[in-house]
Amino acid sequence: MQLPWESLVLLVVPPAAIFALALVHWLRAPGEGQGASDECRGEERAA
Amino acid sequence: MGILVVFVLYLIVLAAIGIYCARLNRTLADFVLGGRRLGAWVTALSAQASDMSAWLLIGLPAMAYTNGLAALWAAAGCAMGTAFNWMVVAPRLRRATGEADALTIPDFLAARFAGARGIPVRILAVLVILLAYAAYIAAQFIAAGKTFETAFSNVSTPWGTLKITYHTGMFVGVGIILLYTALGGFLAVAWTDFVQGLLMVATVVVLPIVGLVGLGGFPELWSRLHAANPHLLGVRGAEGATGMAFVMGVVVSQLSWGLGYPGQPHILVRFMALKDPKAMRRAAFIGITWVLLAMWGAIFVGLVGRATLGDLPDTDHVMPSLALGLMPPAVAGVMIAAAIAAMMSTVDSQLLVAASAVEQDIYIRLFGGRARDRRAVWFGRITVVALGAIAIPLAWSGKSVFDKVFDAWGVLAAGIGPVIILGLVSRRANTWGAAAGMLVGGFIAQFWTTVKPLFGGDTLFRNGLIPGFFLNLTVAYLLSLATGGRRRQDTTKET
Repeated sequence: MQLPWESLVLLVVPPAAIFALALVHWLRAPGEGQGASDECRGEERAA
Repeated sequence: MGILVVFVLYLIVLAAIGIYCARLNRTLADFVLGGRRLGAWVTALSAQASDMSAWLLIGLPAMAYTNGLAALWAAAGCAMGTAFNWMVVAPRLRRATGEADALTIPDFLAARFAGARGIPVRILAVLVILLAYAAYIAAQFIAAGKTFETAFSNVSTPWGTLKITYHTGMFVGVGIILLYTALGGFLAVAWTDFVQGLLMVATVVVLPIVGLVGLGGFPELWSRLHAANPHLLGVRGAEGATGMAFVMGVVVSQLSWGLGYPGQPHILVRFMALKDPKAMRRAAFIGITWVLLAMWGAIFVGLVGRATLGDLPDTDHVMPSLALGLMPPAVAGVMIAAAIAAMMSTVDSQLLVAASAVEQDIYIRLFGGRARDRRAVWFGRITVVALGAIAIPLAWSGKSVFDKVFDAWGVLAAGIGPVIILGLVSRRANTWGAAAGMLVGGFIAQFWTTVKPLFGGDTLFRNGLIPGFFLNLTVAYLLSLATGGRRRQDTTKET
């Protein structure tokens, strides 16, 4: 018994894509304790 | 008897954490935000455990049991919302609340939208939080009563047969929660949530794997589900919805859970408590991985339950029934304890957020009340117990749980989420826009039954989350532009 293709897509693609995004997001971060990350550059201050 | 021993041990561990953390609360900042000294792992797992509630172990498996793989739409919506929260909201909120020394979400909103001392925005935020949490906390109390009642309906002990009723179960669960939350404050809540998060994810990962091995693998699972109802293998729900019923009733309504994430103060306060803001991306990876494992695992609990258990009289019993059917009694006890853990990890956080709104936002900020150090901590403890006591009558009847959760989630999502996002990413959003947006969004979600004819009745939207969220966002932004954007005084921190 096989799954329909759209079920297989919904089962696999969202978690794989979100996991990959989170992994890249983490790996692209400046080292902890090595200066400010993008989010810490003070958008509030700019305003 | 094995289940009872596991449960009692588990409750003792929670109480011990609360008593240990009680000594660490010296100021109000310690009590409501743990003095901003959480590490990445505790921040990540406690945020996710607070988010998921009993819905993860009871509601989502039941949804998968009934609708099959279509439950994946809700999982995808939640996973996207979680990722948005961690990647966009969390780092900005941690920085902004640290700079403004804001202890609560209304505190942050008042500081960010500080015109007229931020009073309108603070009052509206507190109102939305207390209104939504009254229903939300009551729903979790109901879940506690029902789970205790199910787990201990007939347990043999050396002293005779133990039978816990719904109301006794609720009082036991609520008593333990109030004990460790009131004594230990935020640190106890965060550490117990960390333990509970581990327990929850272990349950929803291990249980379906054991079930799948027992069935003989995926082909047998798909065959049995197909035999029960061919639509269970599709993405269109148990009745194979088509057209608008599929698009709006299945896809959009389930994905819309994800819109709610930026508006949930019990999740957002975890981001505010991270010790080192630069550890946020690591915490994000841990939290997002947890939610993917937990949600997809919970769906497989429901699917394996349908294939293994056949028709159940109450679909909410699928996880406990599967655990009792597949596992030794002591392990099943741990897994059922995970359902209680899921409920506790949400309601403790909500009680603390509601209590901090009463103490910090109403008593101290609005009425100028003075509460310093240990006296402030004791005021917070009394508020936690008082709010818990108020929620008990709301839970007394024991009627449906998850409708209340969805409605409360929608009120927070539509009332608070858009102004949090605008406050963090837009330089133009101002006091008047934020206040009007919260009023419109919160009103639509809270009074959806009355206003839904304006939005096409039940045809398009199941509740007020989607229209409330987008109207809040639109009204807040456009009115901010119309009233001159963010003026100089708006950037001044409220004192």
